[in-house]
Amino acid sequence: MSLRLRSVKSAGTLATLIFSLFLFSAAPAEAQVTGTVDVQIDFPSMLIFYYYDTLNVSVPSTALASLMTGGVDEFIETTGTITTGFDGVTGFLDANAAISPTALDTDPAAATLALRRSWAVRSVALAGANTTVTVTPGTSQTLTGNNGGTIDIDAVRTRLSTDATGGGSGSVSWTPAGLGNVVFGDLILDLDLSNAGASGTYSNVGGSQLTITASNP
Amino acid sequence: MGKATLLVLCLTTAVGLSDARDRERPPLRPGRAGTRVSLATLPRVELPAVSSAELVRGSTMQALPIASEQEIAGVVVEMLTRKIPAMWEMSVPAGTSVDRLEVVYDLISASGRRQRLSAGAADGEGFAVRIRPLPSIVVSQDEHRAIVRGGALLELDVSLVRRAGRYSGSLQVTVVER
Repeated sequence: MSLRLRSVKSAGTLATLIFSLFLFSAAPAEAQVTGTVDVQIDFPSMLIFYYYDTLNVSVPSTALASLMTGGVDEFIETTGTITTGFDGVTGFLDANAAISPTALDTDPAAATLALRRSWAVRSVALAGANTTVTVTPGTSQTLTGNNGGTIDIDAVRTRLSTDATGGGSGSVSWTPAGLGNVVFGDLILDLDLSNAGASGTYSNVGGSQLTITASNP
Repeated sequence: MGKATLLVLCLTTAVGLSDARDRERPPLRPGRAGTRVSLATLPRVELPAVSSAELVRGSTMQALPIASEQEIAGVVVEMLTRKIPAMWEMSVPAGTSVDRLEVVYDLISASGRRQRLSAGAADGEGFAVRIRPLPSIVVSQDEHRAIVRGGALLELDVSLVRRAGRYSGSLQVTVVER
């Protein structure tokens, strides 16, 4: 008899517990469920290259003079004595002050023109790949003056604009910075001005032009 | 024991709902269910690939003569959107108001950062994603149960994406019935 009572009691306890759970399940104050979704998207390699198809560079006379003199008036000093002599013509003495070309600050045959921020790139590349910009001179790099004279482009280089003091090279590479970050670059031209005998406009329009190539591997 | 059996049947019914209601949709993955409601989600979503047309209005390789500095500054779209209109479905008791359902999205990138997608485990290669829930809607119901469907609008900040390739993450969907 007592054993039977315990059995009934146990069953009753189980039923009470389950019923309580059921009540809680059927009317919770707050129910929450969770699931997970794997999300993926593909992004392409991209390259946008901005360039000037024509660059007009105006060089003021003061700038050109500064190019030759370093921006200061030229006084070539000498501590020596200039000796004069009779040159054979009555009434004339002759003296040689002997200014040497080496006394000049700059050789006009080796002037450098830096065209800062002359190209720009936005790029996205594959993992591990860099973006590259290469500059190639044309087959003939002579700028012809409309009033006579010529300017030769002896060499062309490029660099990133953030490397303002660098000498540049034929190409420059960098880790892509994304579409939201524009990377600017410079062109550096070595000019021979020694034959620029007339003021005016010197141009290679209609002739051989520079080629700038931007690439992602 | 009779009540215990009843309870088990109720739970089974609640968990097993939802993904058979619309046979044209991709199979949904059951989530961790509550007692009165159950959730099933798409196992995977491949968002439409980013195209150059939507970013730069042209091909992936462009050489553009410069007309002005402003032209360089303004040509690129840096924020893209992708809509996932039917990401999950949930079975709820008939008559449940969708206004009582709060949906929370939590995106974890493959590199483990929140609210981002990333290219593998490389933490530096990724971008931020803002998730805006779409309104939940009742797509079907009978006298006992209703099926609620929901999704989200993903806003992708791709301005600093440097690397091409696949970006991924895991989007956790939590629906709370208040």
